[in-house]
Amino acid sequence: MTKGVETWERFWFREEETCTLALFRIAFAVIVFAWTISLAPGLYSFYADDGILPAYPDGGPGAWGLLQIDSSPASVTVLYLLLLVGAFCLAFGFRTRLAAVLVFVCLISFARRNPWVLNSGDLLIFVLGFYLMLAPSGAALSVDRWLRTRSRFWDFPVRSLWPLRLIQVQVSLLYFFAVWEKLRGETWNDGTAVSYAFRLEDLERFPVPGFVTDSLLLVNLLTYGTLAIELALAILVWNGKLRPWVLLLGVMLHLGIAYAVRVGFFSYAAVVGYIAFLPPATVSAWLYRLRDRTARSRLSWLVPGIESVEPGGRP
Amino acid sequence: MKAFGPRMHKEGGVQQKLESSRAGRAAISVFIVVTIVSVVVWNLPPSAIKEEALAFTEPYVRATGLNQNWGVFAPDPRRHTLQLLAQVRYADGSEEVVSIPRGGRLVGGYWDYRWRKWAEWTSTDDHSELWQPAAEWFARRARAEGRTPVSVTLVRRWRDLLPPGLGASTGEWQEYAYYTYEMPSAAEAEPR
Repeated sequence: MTKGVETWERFWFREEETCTLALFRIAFAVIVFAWTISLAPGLYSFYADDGILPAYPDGGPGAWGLLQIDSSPASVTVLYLLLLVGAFCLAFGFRTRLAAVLVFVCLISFARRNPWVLNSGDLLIFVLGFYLMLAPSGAALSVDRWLRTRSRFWDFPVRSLWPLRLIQVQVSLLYFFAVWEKLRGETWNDGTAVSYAFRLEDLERFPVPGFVTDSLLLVNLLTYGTLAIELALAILVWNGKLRPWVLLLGVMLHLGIAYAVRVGFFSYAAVVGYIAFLPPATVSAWLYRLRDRTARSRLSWLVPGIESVEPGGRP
Repeated sequence: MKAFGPRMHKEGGVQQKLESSRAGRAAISVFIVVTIVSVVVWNLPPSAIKEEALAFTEPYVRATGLNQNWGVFAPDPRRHTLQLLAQVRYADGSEEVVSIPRGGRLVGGYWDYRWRKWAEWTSTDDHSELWQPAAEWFARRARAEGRTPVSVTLVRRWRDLLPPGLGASTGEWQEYAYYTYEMPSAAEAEPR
């Protein structure tokens, strides 16, 4: 019993440096910012009360959103601007917790106002936004940190791991249920699903050559390969030795999807989710290398707190 | 508290105080368990256990936005290319066929996918509640261009994707007009 409790505590409450969390926060905020910009062309058509869905939909028990109060073009504009500001503050880590809450509230408000324009990528962004709200994501690489302790800006304070763990578990569950759902289908079992997905003209982004989509052998390989990679992302990603390779395969899978299919931000959101799996030692090594290279370049003015550190080292 | 992992620079905070107390960690553990169980229940295939459990977990997953399914192209990808068209008839007797906005390949895919998703839902018989608002929106768009629409007919246009390896890739285009909305006359539209 005691051992079980200790294992649980080690898994969820172990303290680690917050560089991984900071990198996740910045990447997530960039995606949210781009997502928000991409909303502009259809903003009022999608969300205002004179758009494609004039009546506020019933989202079921527990569902809520700010546009339920009022979805006039003025309210939609205010919410949109708040989301832009929130994403900007989140990226730079200014009033980080408040920014994370603001981003989540705005995202879910847009989601609830019109669920008929969302794809899985949007949904993943909302889910990641919920978990980020729970995390001390401004502890490192943030304006908040700069204001708190300039001399230790490049230090990554340790924090309990559980919010990042929740993101890892969510990503793992996402792929597990994606595979489960696919295995209920006919074309994923007979190995032809990818051929259909790549030939949907209304969703086509860049064309996939006919010799690929018409070759049974190639589409079998791509279809079963997709299932294998997704299953690996659900299970094998928990193995430390296999993790880098599994994540690399996941990135390749999503780059392929982003090339061929109009899935919006799905691929990028998924890859942002992978950041949660990166070990702090790796991330801090990357960040210090990037810092030192930038400090030696003409862009050195971009590096905050560099005067208090030795190149390659911690403060 | 027993600390796990590297002991490095550490700062205080409400969340850390919670995490460093036994009661706080117990409360967080309950939250973690509830969250994971709720997400798992939401994603289960239709079953008795899911129905029973949803009575408890549904409000939570809906309130937190965790009520998401991850069946991208699942259980099967669509096996037909789909278009939503609107035949707009104007007061002057003319007709026009319009479609949803479509962007370019490089950047357009990052904004027009929302229109495609909406067209997919609006074209199905399962969501007939979307038809009238869709027709009204096409009419408003026509009015914004200074024209007077009298009716809007929604048309589903599709062509089947044939199984791979057979030579021909797609079937012939087919169309089905599935909903017509007649604009209320000015007198009918007058607010009471």
